[in-house]
Amino acid sequence: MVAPSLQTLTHLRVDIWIDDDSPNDDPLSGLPSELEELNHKNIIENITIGIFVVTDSTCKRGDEWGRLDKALTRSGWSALKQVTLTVRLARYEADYDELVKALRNLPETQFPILSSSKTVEFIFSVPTTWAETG
Amino acid sequence: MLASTQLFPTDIVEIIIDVLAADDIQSVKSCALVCHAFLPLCRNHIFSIRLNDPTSRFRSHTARTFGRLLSTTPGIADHIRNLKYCVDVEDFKNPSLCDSLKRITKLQSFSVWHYSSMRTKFHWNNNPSQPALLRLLRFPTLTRLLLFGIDNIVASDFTPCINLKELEIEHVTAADAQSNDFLSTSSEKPIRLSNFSAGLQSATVTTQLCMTQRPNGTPLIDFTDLTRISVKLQYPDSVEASRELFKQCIQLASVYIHGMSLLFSTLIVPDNSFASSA
Repeated sequence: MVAPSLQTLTHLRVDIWIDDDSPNDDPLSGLPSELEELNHKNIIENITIGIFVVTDSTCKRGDEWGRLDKALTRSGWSALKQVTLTVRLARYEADYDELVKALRNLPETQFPILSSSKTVEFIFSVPTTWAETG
Repeated sequence: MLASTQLFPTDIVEIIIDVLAADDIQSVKSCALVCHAFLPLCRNHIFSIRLNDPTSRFRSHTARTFGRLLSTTPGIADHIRNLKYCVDVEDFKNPSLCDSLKRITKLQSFSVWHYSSMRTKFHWNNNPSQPALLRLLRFPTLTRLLLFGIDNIVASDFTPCINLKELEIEHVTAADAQSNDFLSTSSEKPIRLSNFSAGLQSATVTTQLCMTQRPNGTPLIDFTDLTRISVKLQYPDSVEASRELFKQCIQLASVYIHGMSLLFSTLIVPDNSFASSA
């Protein structure tokens, strides 16, 4: 989709809303596949990804995330300086304790390369908020 | 301060103020108070008019007070660079608003919006202020346009916006493509945008802007210069519109995409059809 702008694109930001009906159980909704296509020499410096989990929905906490780590640490990404990944949870009735704990472990379990990178600043957070009642 | 105006020729001071205005409008407002010589140079930049804006923390004019302002101080109309107009259909009962809008001569940034909470529709192609609005689009000074909450937008009405660089649309619908009516005097050169933002419920207008061609076959808008793009995906038609848009972009520097997972994955992986995902 953005491949024609490979030599000019420096900033990419996506905000993705997921709920229990989201396809493929992939919280990143196919984004790593798109980024893998930019594996040729690109000049992207900054990627900001916001994942918004709709109230009381859930999301995967496994290898689906790790594809992003692999996609962004290949040789073509030498210009990359910062990756910001924020997973926002809004709770009303759901018990999110276990999910939050698992998601906050993702830097260790699924993003080992970005987390330890000396050239890329990896900013990861899982803020939770209470959803307002109707 | 007399010494400084003698030290620098007026045209140099004007250039300095022009450059300052691009980054720091508050300082330009301070400069306007320095001396009489600075005032006309500064007020080219500082007149921003808000009409009927209920959300503004700054003073917002009504059609009546705006008309009175321009009647008592007509010279101000030439200095208005930024107009934010919140449509109030009640104003259409009085022709004074259109008269006021017709006095403006050098607009650079124009925002027109209509709140749906007013429970009335604002039809771009059928309202008493349309001639006055179309006139504002013809200024070669116009570089920024925002349209919000407007129905039946006619793509060909943007033809005169030859220097438009930033276009932002949200909650808008397009008139039938057959409504496009190019004047014989229309410019043959496409609009070359640098920033485009397609907000929620803007798919039909986005699609028309992508597809509409001038009578000579050139596109209405050439998106190949676009460097910043923002799209919000709400319904399936926004995916199709965004896909057509991205197809025309070749030198983007900044991309923002916002949407539900299903629509997002369908945009970036075309094989994901809605039918198979359901």
